[in-house]
Amino acid sequence: MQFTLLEVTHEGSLREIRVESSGMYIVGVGAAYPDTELTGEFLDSLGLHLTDAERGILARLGIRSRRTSLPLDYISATRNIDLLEARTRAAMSPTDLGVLAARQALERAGITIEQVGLVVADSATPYQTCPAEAHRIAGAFGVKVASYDIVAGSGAIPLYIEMLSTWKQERIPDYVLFVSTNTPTQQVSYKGSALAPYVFGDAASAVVLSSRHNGKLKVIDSYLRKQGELKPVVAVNHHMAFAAEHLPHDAEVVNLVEQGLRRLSEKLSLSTRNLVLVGPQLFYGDLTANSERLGVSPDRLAVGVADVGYSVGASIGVAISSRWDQIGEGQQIVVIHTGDGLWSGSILLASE
Amino acid sequence: MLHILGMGTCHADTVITNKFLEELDIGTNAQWIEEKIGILERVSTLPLDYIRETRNQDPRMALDVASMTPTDMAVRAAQDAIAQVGIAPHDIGMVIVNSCAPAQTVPGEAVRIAERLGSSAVAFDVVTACPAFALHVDFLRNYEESKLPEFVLCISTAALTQHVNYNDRSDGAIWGDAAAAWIVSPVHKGKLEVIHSTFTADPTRCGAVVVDTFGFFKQDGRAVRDFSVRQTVRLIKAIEENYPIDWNRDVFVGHQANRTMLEQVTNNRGIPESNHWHNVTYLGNQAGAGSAATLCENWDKISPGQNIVVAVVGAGLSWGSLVLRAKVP
Repeated sequence: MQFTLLEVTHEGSLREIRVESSGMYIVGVGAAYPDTELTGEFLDSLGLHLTDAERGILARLGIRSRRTSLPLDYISATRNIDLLEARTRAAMSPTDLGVLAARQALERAGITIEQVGLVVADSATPYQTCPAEAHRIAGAFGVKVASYDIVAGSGAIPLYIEMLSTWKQERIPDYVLFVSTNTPTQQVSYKGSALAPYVFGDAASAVVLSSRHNGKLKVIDSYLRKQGELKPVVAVNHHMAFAAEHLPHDAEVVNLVEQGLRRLSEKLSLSTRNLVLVGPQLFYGDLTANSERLGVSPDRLAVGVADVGYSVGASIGVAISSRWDQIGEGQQIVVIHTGDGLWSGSILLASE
Repeated sequence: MLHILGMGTCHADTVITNKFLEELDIGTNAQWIEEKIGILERVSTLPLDYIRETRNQDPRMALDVASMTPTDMAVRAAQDAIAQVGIAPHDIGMVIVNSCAPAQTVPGEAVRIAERLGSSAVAFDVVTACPAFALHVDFLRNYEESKLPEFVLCISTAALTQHVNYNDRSDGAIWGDAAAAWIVSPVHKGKLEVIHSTFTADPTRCGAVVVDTFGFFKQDGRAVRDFSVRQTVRLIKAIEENYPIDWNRDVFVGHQANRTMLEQVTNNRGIPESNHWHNVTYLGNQAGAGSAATLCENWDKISPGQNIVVAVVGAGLSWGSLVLRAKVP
């Protein structure tokens, strides 16, 4: 399927570029996070004692504040050692957050849940490992619909878009709802010295995709590749673990984003002048610090972590959602993702 | 057309007999278990002493004493399947895994398994519950075949005895720990070709069967059993209406929930015992691994031209079906 991209030239005029696209549209995006803010001051007051090196890492992540579904007095009093107790005190479950994000995505898509033919969900912090999170979310809507989880950590949304772009048309329902929802603060230990309390925040995001109905953003190009060996930055068994020693250097992150942008430029003759960059959300600070080198000004860096905290697979969707209402004609959005040793890739989205 | 080229399994090594459960003195006995669910033995990754002494009252402790994790079992099953097909881990281009009680949620089970196998394939979890065999095959049929790699490794693994409350007289009798793996190819012809697949769900009944991440398995037993029998029969009927199924030649493989439930299904559809393959009697309900493990164990019995009818139902509530036709030389 051919699609026309509009590029702003050096002279400020518009240039048309004809490209092949996947025929897939993002018709709605939504995000949700709890009301309670988990500030740095509050965390400092718990006596968590970050080292200078750890504060340097936090600056690389660019996380200023975060949201939590737990009451602050509960965190102060208990440091969240008992994970089962946390659930009884939490204002919201991952499913609750997922439903809120899904509602916003459906509303923005202008459709009802009954029009959705497949619900897919991802959660790093499910209350139950069976049934699937997708079953609980669809169940909360009260619909009978094909549903299952595809769990892919921080790369969930890029994987979903890439995946659907490679499916047979006749096997794709009219609308597919993807939800990534995480409540990591319910699994963070707020005791001792560690980065995890400063990194994670609770959030969900949802994306409605269609290959039959036009939407605000067309998927022009998607690309995923396996990346290196497994060095997980985030690990979840009981408590959330954040392995800063596995973080790539800032130069590696910037190189990867540069390569992604260059690949799209060479393939589609694009420039970075009129695009919004949804970069690897865990490295928002690195992206801001290197915006000049990347050729993307800080105001065109979409962010899903700075005031919400890192919410694993949900963060990319939170970033896209934050820009949804400002997307205008000819707008291009580049999603460049790097996982924790899993895969990296890029997606080019453009509005018609 | 997708083909299943080979399969592998791994079962836990500790046998839990009905007599052992009777000796826990929790209001059950061997005769009641046999009559009610038709399971004589099941296998567990937990030591018998641990079950006897703690009744697994804190499932978070179970992993500390377990002989294998779901990942360990999955790796062994995958190695079996890879060896059977005669390929190497680096030949695999995609790994998808179902685990309804993973020991760790991130990185995903598929990523950890691929790493252990030495595969650099793209790996992610595709999760439902017991109907995983049908879901994975149906999921792969969504892809343009040219977009799939030559070899896809599918795995379902579960160690649900680690989530059983052994003070409950029913739950302890049901579960067995196992993994099953199967290798699918859009390019290479194998023993079985996929001629039919379905998967769907009724999430309005998602509370009927649950496994708490840090806690126990729980289910509304009677409602789930009745639904499972009815839905399995419906799935088989739909296949009978659309394909030339001959139960004197073809074979039925169901979800290995319990033996009495499977007998109700086969009695309803007139499926002779000789053409009903099952392993629940001595291995217990192996969740999403059960149906694939059963087929794997009967791999050498598959005859040319035979249809393998798979109909599976589970948590979600979700269900799916497959018709796999054996290659005629």
